[in-house]
Amino acid sequence: MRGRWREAIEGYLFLAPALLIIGAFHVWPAIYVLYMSLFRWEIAQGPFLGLRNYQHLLEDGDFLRSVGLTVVYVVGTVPLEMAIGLGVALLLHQRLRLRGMFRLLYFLPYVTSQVAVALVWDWVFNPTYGLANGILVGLGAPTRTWLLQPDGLFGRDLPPSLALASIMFVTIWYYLGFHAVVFLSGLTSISDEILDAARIDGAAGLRLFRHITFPLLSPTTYFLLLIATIGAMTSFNLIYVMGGGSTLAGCGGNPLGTTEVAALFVFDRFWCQTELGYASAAAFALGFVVIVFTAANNRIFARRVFYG
Amino acid sequence: MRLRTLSVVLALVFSACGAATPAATSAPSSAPSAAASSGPATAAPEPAVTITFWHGQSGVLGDRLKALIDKFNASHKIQVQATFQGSYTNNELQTKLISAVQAGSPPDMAQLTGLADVANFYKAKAIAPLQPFVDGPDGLTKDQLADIVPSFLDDNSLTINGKKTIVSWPMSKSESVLYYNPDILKAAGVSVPKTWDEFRTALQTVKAKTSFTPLEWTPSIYDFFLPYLFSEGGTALSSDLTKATFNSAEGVKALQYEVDLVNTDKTAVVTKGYDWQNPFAQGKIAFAVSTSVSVPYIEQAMPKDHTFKVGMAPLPAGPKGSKTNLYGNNIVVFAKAPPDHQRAAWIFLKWLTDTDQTVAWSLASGYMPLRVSAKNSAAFKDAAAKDPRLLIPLAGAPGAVGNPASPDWPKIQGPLGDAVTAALLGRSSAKDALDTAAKKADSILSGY
Repeated sequence: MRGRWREAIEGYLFLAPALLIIGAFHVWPAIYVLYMSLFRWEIAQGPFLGLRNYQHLLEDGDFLRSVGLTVVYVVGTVPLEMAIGLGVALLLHQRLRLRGMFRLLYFLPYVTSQVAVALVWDWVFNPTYGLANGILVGLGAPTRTWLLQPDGLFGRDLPPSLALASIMFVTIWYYLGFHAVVFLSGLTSISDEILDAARIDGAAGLRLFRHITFPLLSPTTYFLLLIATIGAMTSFNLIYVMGGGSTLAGCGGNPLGTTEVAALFVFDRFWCQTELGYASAAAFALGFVVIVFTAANNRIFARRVFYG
Repeated sequence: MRLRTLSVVLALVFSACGAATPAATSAPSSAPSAAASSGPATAAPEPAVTITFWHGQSGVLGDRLKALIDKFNASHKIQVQATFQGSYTNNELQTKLISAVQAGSPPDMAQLTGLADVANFYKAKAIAPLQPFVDGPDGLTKDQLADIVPSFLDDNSLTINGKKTIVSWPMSKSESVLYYNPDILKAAGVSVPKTWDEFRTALQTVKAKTSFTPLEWTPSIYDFFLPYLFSEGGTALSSDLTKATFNSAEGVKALQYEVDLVNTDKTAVVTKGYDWQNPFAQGKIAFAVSTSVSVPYIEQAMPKDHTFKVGMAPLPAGPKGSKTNLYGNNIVVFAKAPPDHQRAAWIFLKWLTDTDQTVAWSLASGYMPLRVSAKNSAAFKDAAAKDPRLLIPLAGAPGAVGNPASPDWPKIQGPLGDAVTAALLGRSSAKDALDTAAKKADSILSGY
């Protein structure tokens, strides 16, 4: 009995540093945000509002739009970056010349500062002097205004706007290498014996991939799906810099709010409009949506994961 | 937004480089203590306290400010401890200040941007109005106060209990001006436009006679829409700050003007942030509109083999003359600071506003001096003889209008900016776009 206690205490001691850090920088702020969200709280704390901030969120067209844009952003980036990342991983898994260099090249964007990346792409999309329009002109196609264009790809008022779509393109480019490298490590961990056995049984090419490789990759796929979804739902830097906007006022989300995803909405209302209480409610609601999405992911995909 | 930080930081660095020489020479060696030189005799002895000052001037400009503060510290019992806390132009400094107020530990004084932000902090009871100090024993005489540029004082005054009250104090002030490339104007045979109508014609002439882009600019409400509105006699908000008035006939006219340039005349190209700056520096654009501290930015972006003298002029005038938007920062003193710290902060601010210091800071930074009489000082006259462009913002200062005094203005500028964007893209008429924004603004002003 005594020994077990000792063991438990030892265990908690080992956990303590992590718990302290997570508690101080994640759990406590989350609780405080919940507290702030119950008040009218501008720069100073105001009267208690109960759930009125949350009620207001549901009536706030800008907030609902930002949630919709977040969903568009997630659905438009995560599957694509995973699929292309997997494709690249499969290619890099072959015995290629300069394989190491290609791995490095694909991973390079991911280790570059997002702000620097956004600045470079900002230039690429410059309507008058940017590379993107340069290519279009070279092809004889009409130029576009890219990050300044609020019109949707599939209809004027349907998201994503060309501005958001441009940012989504950069997002996919940015995260591609990360997915490729993680998939690659997943591929390396599939034992050659299983693959050889399948080959002897006559499986090859697509069938080998579909029935052997892909199922055995499922823990990796699931892991990537989870973190990519959570990452995309709370994505901020690239959208903030590239959506910096055509007006010098406000906190981004330009043009016409078509790039104001939920994280930007929270940031704008908190720091730029100093609606600290209201923004806290939005942040808490966003956290809730992330949890629901993660739970849904769990429900739908977790049981398909094969851990060998 | 980070992009803007970066470019602003770079610009500040370069702007300071551009103005390097006068700063070092303009500081007179004998620095009389402000309390001794200008305060009424009844003032209590200066408190020997150290006060904290958070500012947003980085790079070389930060060093210049430090040199100025070192000079103050060397001649005073009050010691000012200044720290850079992030740029003031993009909310970084404000973000830190909001956090500090939440934590209950703000500095003794700090820079804030325009009057709307000051009003917002005042509404939160976070800052102490400065009127009592201005009127008090350490204060300014009537003549001294009258020598501060009136529009700068307006940008620091709120109506409290029906009385106009100085709440904060001006520090680094700039304004929107018109930039032009004299070579292109010459090639087109165009003179610098004095009115909005002349401006429109000038752009058309440049388009007809040359292959250059007549105007490239970022349609910020501050650089174009609001100055035009003011020059027509319009206002952004009603005087009691309860209703939007930017959708008046004057407002519609102001926005329609921009729409005409972009869509009818096709003489103007819309950009994002400071994207117009490089092509302007490369000599591809005839006109641009931006803040008066942009010259060094533009000059450093010029190709070495193809330079030109950047032309600067006041914004074109309307029936009510030339109006412009007041940019830059003001200083607030926090309510949490102990009384002797507040008093010490005021003594420092007063010193900073003395002619010697305000001229030194102006020549070091490119911001405008705060005193009307500053342009008569020897140091400023010398500098202006070398570069007459220094006088242009000063000439525009009387017509410079800061943000409306409403703490809600930061929430309104977004929808108003969207109205400009929507009209320029032809998504709605100028009137409809402004009416939509005004409706949003009215509901923000009435609270939810």
